[in-house]
Amino acid sequence: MIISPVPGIGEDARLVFDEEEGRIKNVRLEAVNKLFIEEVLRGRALELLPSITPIFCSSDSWSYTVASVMAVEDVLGRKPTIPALGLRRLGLLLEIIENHVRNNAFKTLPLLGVDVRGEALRILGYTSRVKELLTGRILNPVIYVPGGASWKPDNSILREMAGLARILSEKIDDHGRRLIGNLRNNELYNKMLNLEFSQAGYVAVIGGNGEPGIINGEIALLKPSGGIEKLGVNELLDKVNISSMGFSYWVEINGVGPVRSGPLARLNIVHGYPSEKASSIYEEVLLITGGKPVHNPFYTVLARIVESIYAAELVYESLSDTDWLSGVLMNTKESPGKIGYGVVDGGRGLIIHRYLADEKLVVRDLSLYTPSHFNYAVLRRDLSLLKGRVLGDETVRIAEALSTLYDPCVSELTINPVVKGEG
Amino acid sequence: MSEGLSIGFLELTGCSTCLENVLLHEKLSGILGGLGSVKYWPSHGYTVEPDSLDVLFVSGAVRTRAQVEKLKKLRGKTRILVAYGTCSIYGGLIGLTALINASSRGEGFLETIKTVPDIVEPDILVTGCPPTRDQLDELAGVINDYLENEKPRGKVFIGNRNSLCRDCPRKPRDPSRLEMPGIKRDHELVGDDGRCFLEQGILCLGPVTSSGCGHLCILRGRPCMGCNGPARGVVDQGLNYISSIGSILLKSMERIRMFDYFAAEIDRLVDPMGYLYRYTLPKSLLTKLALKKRGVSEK
Ligand code: SF4
Ligand code: SF4
Repeated sequence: MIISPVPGIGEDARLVFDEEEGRIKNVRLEAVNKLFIEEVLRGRALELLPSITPIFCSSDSWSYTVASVMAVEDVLGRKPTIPALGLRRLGLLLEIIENHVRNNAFKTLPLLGVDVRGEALRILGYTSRVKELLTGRILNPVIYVPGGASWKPDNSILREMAGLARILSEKIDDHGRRLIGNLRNNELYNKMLNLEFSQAGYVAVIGGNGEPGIINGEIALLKPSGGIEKLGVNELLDKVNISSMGFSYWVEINGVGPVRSGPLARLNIVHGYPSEKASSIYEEVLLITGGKPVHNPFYTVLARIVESIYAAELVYESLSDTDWLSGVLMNTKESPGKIGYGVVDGGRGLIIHRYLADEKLVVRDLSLYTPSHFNYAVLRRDLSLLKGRVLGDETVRIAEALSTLYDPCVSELTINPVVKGEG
Repeated sequence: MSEGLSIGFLELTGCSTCLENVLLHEKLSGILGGLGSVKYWPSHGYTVEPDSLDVLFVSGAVRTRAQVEKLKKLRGKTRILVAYGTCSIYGGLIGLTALINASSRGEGFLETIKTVPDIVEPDILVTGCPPTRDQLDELAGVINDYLENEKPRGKVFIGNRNSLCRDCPRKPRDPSRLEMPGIKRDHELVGDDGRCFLEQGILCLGPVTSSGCGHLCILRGRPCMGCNGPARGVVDQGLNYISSIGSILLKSMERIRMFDYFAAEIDRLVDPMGYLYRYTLPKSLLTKLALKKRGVSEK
């Protein structure tokens, strides 16, 4: 049996069930329309990549832009200014909110019979307006440039953004709390939470105080046993073990595998959320999960709620006091090299861009790692839990819902293994 | 009017972020009947293909045979088909693969990137990556008119199609005297002084791009990348652009040795496809010629 299009994922992937005497023999998510990302980017002028890479991802397109700007900055040897970092962080937080609200409301929850789409749309109206005020465009935020930003909002725009952010934060908090109440009584959801999933490793960017780092922090790998290992980006890329299914994905990192990235990974790794509303909802969620780490991927729905509340608080906080925006916008001092990395822990999960440029600053080779590079192996393993079950409405529904939890984009995965360039 | 409407969203190859904003635009959403009218949108959980649709929004470029079939089938069921966003009309960023021979990609892929109008006839075309709030205001009006009349009155382009330079806030006082001091690359723009980007040596696609976007990037210190598609009368964004900057580069070059200078500057254009055809390569003469040479039919 083939499900195509896949609810919440669309036409670029299909769910394939192999069946034997009415039972599931195997189930997998396959790519139908691979994007062959490197084909578009190899040979391009380095500086153009930040404006081209966002096309590859609807969920994390701003994260792609920022990862790309960071990788270009790294090649050029330019350091971004503080206001520029703040503007990027703001955009990424807004994208995280959109991602989680949309994924829960339109992708996962309808499969559980929960309809909060109207409410979600109203929330998305606010995030989209703030994004538009922040950069002029809701897609391809062109003001983010290597070494800084080309523009910043003036005081009247900042005031308007802060007003919208305050309402946004209140609405999200209310939406999230009601949703948790609703889910506690959802029979199918509780059934899903009772499914037994094997342990996994988790990877995320963590800030200095153990909070979600997004663009500011170190890559942390949480082992199933509980220990945390910090890895530099090239160290991480050196330690991945790759498998292929017509596209490459990561089966393990440094002997730990499979490894999840994204909201559940961050929930498992962080020490907490340094803001009022998010820490209170986090405590409530921990009471439901019964502690950490949690391996059942259906908790992703709750992780998305915690994180969207947290992100909305941070957006409001940074717009209420905008001192960080007062310094110089651009730094053009540079000392170009050949290789650059950009790392962003976006809504879907960890994104790594690695560019290798020649002396004319033309991209000679590159690797773009997306959250699906991490999550595909664990999704495959989670889906295999359904093996041997009767192929019926409920099992199909579980497979569909499971897939949406990773918000996978298998079309983003490419056939290239890690690029081992000079340097 | 919006009561009982059925609306669909079809995402082809592209990021489809633009589609996500249709229902966030209050006026347009009101005319369409909001979420209650949505009958088809697989990435958002509406997977059952309805028997008929009043309005179908299509984003993205066409690159697989399955997409061609789906598009044709849905066109047959749809009263008003909106080709939405630059990818659907000119190929957009993913169109940068247009010159790569796609046969190596495997079964099911077309030989090159196609656009929606290559496959079916849209009723409305909305350029932009993404279309702006003002464009959506205009679109809302046009859809409203269509819904009130029995039949669409022919193809409609949304948005101003004059070139961006015409009303640009950076427009030089005397454009006929504009001189370009060589070619700088995008990241070499330092200390933007608010003058026309061309006067600063930065490639701005304003002269060949339609201004439906309202100068979004230019107002924020960035040159135009051409995302809103060609301005009226522009057949090929890249070629038209080279001819326009050729003349202003040459003007300042009379002081130096003519052709050496021009050649050296053009040589700094390390990625002509990326700079000049970032959004429109599939519709360029270059792609047409390349496909002709390979014996690939245009349709
Ligand atoms: S080239 Fe660009 S900056 Fe100059 S007038 Fe045209 S649109 Fe404006
Ligand atoms: S200025 Fe150019 S790149 Fe920017 S939105 Fe307008 S058409 Fe697109």
